[in-house]
Amino acid sequence: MLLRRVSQSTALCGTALRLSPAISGGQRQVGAIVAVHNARFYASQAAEAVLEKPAVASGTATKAASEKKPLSLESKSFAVNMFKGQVNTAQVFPFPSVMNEEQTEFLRELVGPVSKFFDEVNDPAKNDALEKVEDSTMEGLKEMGAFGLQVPADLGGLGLTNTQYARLVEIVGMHDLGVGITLGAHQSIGFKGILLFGNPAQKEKYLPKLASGETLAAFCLTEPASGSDAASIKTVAERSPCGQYFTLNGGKIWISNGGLAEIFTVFAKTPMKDEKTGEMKDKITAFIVERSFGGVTHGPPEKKMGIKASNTAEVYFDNVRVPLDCVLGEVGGGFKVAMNILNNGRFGMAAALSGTMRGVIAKAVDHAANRTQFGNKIHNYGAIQEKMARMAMLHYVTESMAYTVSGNMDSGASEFQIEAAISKIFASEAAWTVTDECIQIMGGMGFMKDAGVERVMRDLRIFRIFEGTNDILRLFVALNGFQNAGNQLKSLQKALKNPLGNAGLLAGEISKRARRSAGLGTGLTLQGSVHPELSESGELAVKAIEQFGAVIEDMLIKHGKRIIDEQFVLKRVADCAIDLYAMVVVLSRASRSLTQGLPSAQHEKMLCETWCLEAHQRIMQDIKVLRASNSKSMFKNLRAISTAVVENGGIVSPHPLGF
Amino acid sequence: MARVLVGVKRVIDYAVKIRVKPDRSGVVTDGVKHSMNPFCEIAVEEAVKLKEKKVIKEVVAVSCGPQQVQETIRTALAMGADRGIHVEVSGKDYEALGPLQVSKIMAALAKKEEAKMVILGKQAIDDDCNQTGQMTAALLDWPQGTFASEVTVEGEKVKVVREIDGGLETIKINLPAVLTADLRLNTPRYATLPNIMKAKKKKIANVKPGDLGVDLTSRVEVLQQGAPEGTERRTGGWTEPRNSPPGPLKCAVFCYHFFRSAPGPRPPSCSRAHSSRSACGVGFRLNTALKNNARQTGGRPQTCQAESSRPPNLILDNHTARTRRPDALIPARGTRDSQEG
Repeated sequence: MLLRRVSQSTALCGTALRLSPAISGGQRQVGAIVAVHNARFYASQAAEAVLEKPAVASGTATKAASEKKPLSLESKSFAVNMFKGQVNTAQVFPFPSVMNEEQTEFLRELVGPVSKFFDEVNDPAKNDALEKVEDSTMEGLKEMGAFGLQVPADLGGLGLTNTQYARLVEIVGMHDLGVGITLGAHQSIGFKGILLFGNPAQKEKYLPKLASGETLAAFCLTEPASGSDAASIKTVAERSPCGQYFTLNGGKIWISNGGLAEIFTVFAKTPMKDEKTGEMKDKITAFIVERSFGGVTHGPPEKKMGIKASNTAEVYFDNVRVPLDCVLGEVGGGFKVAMNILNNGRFGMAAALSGTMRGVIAKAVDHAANRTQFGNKIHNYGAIQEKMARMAMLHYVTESMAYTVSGNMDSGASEFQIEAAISKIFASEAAWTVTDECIQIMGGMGFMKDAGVERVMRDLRIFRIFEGTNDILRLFVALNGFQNAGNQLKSLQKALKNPLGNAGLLAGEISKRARRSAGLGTGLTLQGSVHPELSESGELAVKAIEQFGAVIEDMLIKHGKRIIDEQFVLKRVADCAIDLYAMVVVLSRASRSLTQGLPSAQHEKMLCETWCLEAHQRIMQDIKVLRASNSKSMFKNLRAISTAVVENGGIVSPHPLGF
Repeated sequence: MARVLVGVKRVIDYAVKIRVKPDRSGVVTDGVKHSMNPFCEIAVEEAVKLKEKKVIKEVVAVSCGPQQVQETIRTALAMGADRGIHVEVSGKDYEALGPLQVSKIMAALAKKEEAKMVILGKQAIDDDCNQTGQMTAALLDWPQGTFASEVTVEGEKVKVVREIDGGLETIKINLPAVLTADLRLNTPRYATLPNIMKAKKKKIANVKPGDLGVDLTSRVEVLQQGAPEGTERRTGGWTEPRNSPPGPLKCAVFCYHFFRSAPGPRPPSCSRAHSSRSACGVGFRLNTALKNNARQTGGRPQTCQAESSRPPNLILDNHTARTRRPDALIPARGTRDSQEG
């Protein structure tokens, strides 16, 4: 199975990055849908990256590209800019601080009771064993208000900002990821569509009951034949002749809360007439579907490896009559709805997982500080110390990312999709490593169920799969970055055609390249943003950005539009981008701590310096591989090995013993 | 229909490991998590319950201290108190604030607010004084119902079931009266997030002790504070129970008796220790011991034979004993420690 997956992702080259043809002339954007093949857990799987014009040099996009250029050139997103070898500190320095005093005060009051509830009432081991959230806990959570954290106060919720939400979700993640998924499937994606795209009547009708937990919500996108390729869903909603309702038919799988929910956000194809050509075309529309409409049924709860406490089930729609009022957003505008919901939910995962890490680190510390072997507490041994230090660093990075992204979102940033995707990838992998090391430190004790860490490990596994597998999100990050960098390059090419009129621009670019190839700095700097005590680490980050920008350009020139098929390259580019963004967020956070003179400032400085040193080395290594002439043959070998194994239906080499 | 005054004290959270300042002038409070004294939570819960039964009309939460005690008052408001009174005491006065000073304030407020009842926690988990309720009753010259584990208002009287050494005592006293809450009076509700939000709209009045005509001078001088003897926590253990069975059964018998003999309903904070084996060392060991025993005897565990024997005594040092709900937490900690030995 695993092998099949690997082969599939190679196959993604051709299939997953499907360029759907432009619908009408040059007006419509060419949209490529990157969706997750394997992992469609609670819905987001549709790793939906909408890559608008991903093909950097795709012929059809040229015209549109020049139209879009000014927008992408002005991007405030740090991640977008680093692909161009530029630094834009607006969204990362100083470390985002977006809550006013009242919001901070309110949040402070909420943290205590939520922690207490999870300490004293919720029993994660029992939820895991029961494969459902205990009824009494569920009731408690509803009373607690945990189901309507971001619903506006006048509609019965708490009206929390993303940052406030992140802080509370962190507590949930620390204690019980199964409960976290139940809550997340409900409000992070289940009814997020109503919050983001619902009209006032829809909001008033549904949100109060959803906020109190009286009704639960679920997000239904994934289908048996449509995981990665979200645009290929087969569920159909046909409009009645009178135009007043739609008839919904189809089946969805792996729907979190599918067996519990009363309200479903459902994505279905609607045949629509193209106004220009008069052809009938299928477009995706989002619907709010109530179970009470009739014809909505669900399968038994799925048996899973982890997050067992959450309910996952198939949901079927059999001639469900959905009134016109229940269309979410515009008819035919469902894809945008789905992508926005998912993009808006990712930061929550990073926040929850930073809580998980905090929890397991505490367990590891407790053990390391008390366990005696060879006459010493084991935390005195270097082997353990290195583990603990790395765990602390990974946590520091994840936490910094989570709150940078939530802060950006709260301050109204619209471009955060690369950052959000990076935070999801990083958090899910960091949490896995940290938990794995926690078990290692605890030794046999950690392997026992009673220590409570093996459950965390099982729960965590899905986080690298759902909401877009990390593999697909890496492609998303890289391609998104290439697209922006490509637009910049294109304007440069254009300028070259008229060298006299663009002399200034060209002179700048030429000298930048000359300096870069001579190994000199290109004048980028983080000075003034980074605290003086961290200037060395800041320098490393700048150097990495310069080299990264250069290699992106080289890759674009080398591969052109074929870059979308170069997944071996894309993966390494994404790894660099993730490490770079991680460097910058910790630089920002540690700088703030130093400036504020926090008691922990020197400790944070050490976390930051150590992280930056190693991240810089990794980036340089990746860049070296990308540039090396022999890496092409390495990629070729990898491809050939994989192909052979697939053709052979398994391992090719004979057993060393010959039988 | 009348008004109830509830005292709520802000103390270092029960889960925090207390550290003494190097100069021994007190304990470290900066940057340490604080919360409402657990016995005060029980008092608030009781008052809110009385209000829900429509026995009383208004619940007023009172706290004395610096600005931060408003957080504690907010918690009480989120639990259902109607309004708060913050008696502002700070600096030197706050350091010297003891039961006598607080009871003077409570007595003055009880008169000013024309309260029908003052409900306080039986003691605070920081200084363990167990005096404020009694002193308040004395200053007001009102009857007192201390260590209450059940409160019933009957017209102008109140029936109080009190936890005393060796059993329960039921008394009936006239209103107005001062009550102090014991552990098993009720299980305090959680402050829910929507209620916390609503509590933001409730009013907290600011009062100075001088306005109440209260003199805060203290006659007590604290010479020094120190950690319990030996800074290291000592290992707990058990004495031999009567009819002590041999070997692995010992632990099982202890656990069995401990749970059997715990009086009244389960203390709220320890529900986990009972319901979840993994969360509690005692449960875990009980289970293992029973299993071993079953294996040895080839059948059912034999614990029931010892059912009639007296529960064993616990040996614990002072430090371990400083916990929020002592009866709930001691066995868990004791067992955990003894695993080391």
